[in-house]
Amino acid sequence: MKLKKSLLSRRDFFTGLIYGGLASLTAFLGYPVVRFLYYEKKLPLPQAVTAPLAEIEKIPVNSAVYFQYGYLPGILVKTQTGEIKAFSAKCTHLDCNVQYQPETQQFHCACHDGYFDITGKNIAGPPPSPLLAFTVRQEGDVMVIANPESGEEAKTA
Amino acid sequence: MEAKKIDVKKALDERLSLGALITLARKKMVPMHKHTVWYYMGALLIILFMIQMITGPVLLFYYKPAAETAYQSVAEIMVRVPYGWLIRSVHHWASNLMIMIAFVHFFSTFLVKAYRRPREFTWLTGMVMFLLVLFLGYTGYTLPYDERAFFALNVGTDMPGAIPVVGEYILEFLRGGPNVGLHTLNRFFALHVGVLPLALLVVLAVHVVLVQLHGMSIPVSVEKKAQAEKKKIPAKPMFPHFVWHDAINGLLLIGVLFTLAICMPSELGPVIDYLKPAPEGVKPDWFFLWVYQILKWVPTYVLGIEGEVVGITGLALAAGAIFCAPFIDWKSQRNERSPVFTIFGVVSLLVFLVCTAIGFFF
Repeated sequence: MKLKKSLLSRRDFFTGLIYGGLASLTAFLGYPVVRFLYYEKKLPLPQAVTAPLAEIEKIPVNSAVYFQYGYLPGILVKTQTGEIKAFSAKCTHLDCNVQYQPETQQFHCACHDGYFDITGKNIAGPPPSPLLAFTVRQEGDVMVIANPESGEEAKTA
Repeated sequence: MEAKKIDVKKALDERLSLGALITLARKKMVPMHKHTVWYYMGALLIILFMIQMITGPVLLFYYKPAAETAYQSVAEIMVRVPYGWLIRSVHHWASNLMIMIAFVHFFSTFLVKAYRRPREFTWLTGMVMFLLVLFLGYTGYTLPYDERAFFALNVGTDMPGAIPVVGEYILEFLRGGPNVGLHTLNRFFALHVGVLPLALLVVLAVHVVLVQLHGMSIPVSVEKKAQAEKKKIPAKPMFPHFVWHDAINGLLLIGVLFTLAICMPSELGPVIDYLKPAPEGVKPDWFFLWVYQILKWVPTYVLGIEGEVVGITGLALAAGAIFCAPFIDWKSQRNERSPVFTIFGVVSLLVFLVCTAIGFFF
């Protein structure tokens, strides 16, 4: 059957063929490059990290130390009552590291003036959510700092 | 109500005058004769250079340029990173094809005497680029820092040491010390990814502008024949006809490039051992085989002078003569046939081909 009117002209057809060819060539060449660039080693957060109790005992009351939790920086605080708390030190606003302020007993992020209270709750400034809190418990002569989101905390250490 | 249509083409043209460029390309005529095929080489080289300018920086995302880490990072690119082997192989083969086509471009323009007035500077910029491309090939060869790279670094940096007076300084400059050591790789890395490509880009821009300014060179023989027959040399417009030819060539080239890269991925030799002897039958990359073979043939002493010095000086003089061809080939400059330079070109080509083949097979 012959169509009365063609949907596209011969010229349009061949132009489409050329541009389509170019597009598929670009996709063919671009795909490996994109895959290459987005390669990353999978670095899952450890389920828990441990610290010798002796070290923890050396920390003065109402002060904090930093530690490494997988790829995350962690901050461990000994409160005025002697309680140990541990958080991810990454501010939930734009990923700067927070610092502990003994005078107010708050965490302060200097990048954009964000504040978190001693429980990690965001209380002032731009941070949209609380700091990621780790669970802390004593096991023999080590302190186990675990990520509550990884679930299997009891097994490790 | 009909939606208002935005004419992107028109809008861009209003701001960038792309139409003027197209008009210019339509006006530019490319002469068609039996030597026209040599006109294709330039575009192929530019396509390959563009491929290198993409694959090179992409490889840098994982390559760690230090003596302690380079080998491991290349190994990681080859086996871990998705398509790393492909991107490195494409970079490797594109560089080989680039050098190959640069040799074709060089010998063909030399033999048709394209360096005749007013194209002296086009020739000189071309020669500078040829050296840059060879040096890029050599420096790139050393970056995986495997065993081959180590011996290539030793031999390659030792050679300029034979140059009288300044040789010793060049050697130390290239090595960053008296021996190939921790600083050498970083120097070659800086040259390969910074200095040389940037220089090539700048000289290439001048070269291309000059080619557009003067148009394509027509060989003396073709001009004489047309004059004798009182005919005009036929020509095709640059756009779209010649660009179309270039596009087809480019597609074929990409096909060849990927076939080579997939069927023969680039290798990574054994890890460097500074105390190990050079492996039996160690040779330079193919584009320096002719130099290697000639230097092997030169006797230890020629007329009381060290053979290495004689060989390198001789090669440098021949290269110098080719470099200065537009200024010493007076016959061609008067648009006459110049058999001496034709013979010189053919002999150079044969020496290159024969020595490369002997170096490769024996």
